[in-house]
Amino acid sequence: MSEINTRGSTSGGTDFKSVPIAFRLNGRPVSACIDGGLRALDLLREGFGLTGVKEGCGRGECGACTILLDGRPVNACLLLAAKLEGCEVLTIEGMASPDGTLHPLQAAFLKAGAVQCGFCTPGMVLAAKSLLDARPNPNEEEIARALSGNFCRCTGYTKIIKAVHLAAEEMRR
Amino acid sequence: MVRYITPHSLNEALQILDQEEHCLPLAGGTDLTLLVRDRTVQVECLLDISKLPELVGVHQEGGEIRIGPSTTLADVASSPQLPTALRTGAGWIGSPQIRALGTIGGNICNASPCGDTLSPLLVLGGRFRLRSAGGEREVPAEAFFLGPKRTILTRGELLVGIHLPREDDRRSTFRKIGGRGAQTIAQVNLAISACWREGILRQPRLAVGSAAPTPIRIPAVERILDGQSLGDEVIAEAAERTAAEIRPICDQRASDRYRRWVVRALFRDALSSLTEQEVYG
Repeated sequence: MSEINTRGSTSGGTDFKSVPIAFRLNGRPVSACIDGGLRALDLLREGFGLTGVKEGCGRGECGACTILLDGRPVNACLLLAAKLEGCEVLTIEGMASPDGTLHPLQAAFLKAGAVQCGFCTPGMVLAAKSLLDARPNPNEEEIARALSGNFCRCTGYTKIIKAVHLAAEEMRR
Repeated sequence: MVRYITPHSLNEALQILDQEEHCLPLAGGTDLTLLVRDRTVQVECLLDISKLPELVGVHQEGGEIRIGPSTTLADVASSPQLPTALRTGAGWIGSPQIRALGTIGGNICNASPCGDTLSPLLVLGGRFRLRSAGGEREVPAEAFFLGPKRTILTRGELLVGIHLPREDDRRSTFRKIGGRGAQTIAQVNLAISACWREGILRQPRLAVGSAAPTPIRIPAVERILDGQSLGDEVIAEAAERTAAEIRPICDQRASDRYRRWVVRALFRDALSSLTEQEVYG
């Protein structure tokens, strides 16, 4: 089990970082001792170095910080780290196989050219994974609805939706 | 530094709230996390009530439906036993990400006038059960809201149950308009419920959100509609009266003029959807 102490808490108190948590992160058991006000976003980025969890708006509007919490997409910027206790967390760093083989969604995003600046991509891929895990053959409306909490400000959504269709086909094979 | 307590039972949670002066109850945290981070509220201690079994789930009990306040918005939206207006309202809040964390109790206690479950709860005869270490009381949804972000909850008191009467012959519907289709805050939202039999509307209830300091019922319009067969003249009169009765503000989301204008269209749309529903709900 990897252990970690996080930054981002005030010093000087006698018992700061008072909350011990343990959870599974990208398939591995981890633990940390944190402040109760710490966001999951800060724990994942600064504590665990998982910078694929992007901070865009920081207010739950853009979806760039999307992670999967027990398989459901959530905004890491609106999630207190203490809520990770006992949960299964997936970030973009855990999407590919350990041998480096890309997940079909990652491969499809590349193939469809569904990436421009790339900032929204981790969140898009994770939100799409949650959809495809539940509905292997979604229609365009369902894809748009599943991605409605993820903003792309470069390229528009056409290629992103195409990529999700492509991945769905591949995953049904 | 912020302490974080995860109680094991509702009673334990109520004891802690009673004893700790600066302890805030936290459910999904989608609103509260921002306030903590921005230091809008000074928090010494958070009490996580999101997993308490007493506060989670949708249950049918005799003649009523009880919704645990820590039930997520996603679960409310996908609970077939809940009325259409409430499921629809919950399903249009924020994004899938927000609905997976945010709870119906949070939407209620946050008491934003634009909360999309609030106008549905007003037209569905919702009652809220509030409990503290010292006792319990039950109030109609309409009596709960005092103003933007202000409720009748007193220190140490928790919303522990949302109760809806089962009214099998009542239909309901919800409409909302915002700056975009999804992931948007309502410029206006509106819920209607009524019995619709043999072309006559009976016991209608109408509530509008984001149009006054709290979500409001509009009894004047309910009286216009009650017992009517909904000809063009009645609908036009009721739509005008709805626009006249609301007290919208002008802010960054919409002007008061726009809100008065658009509420007429939402009202007409909701009413026609209600009478065209094939199934009760």
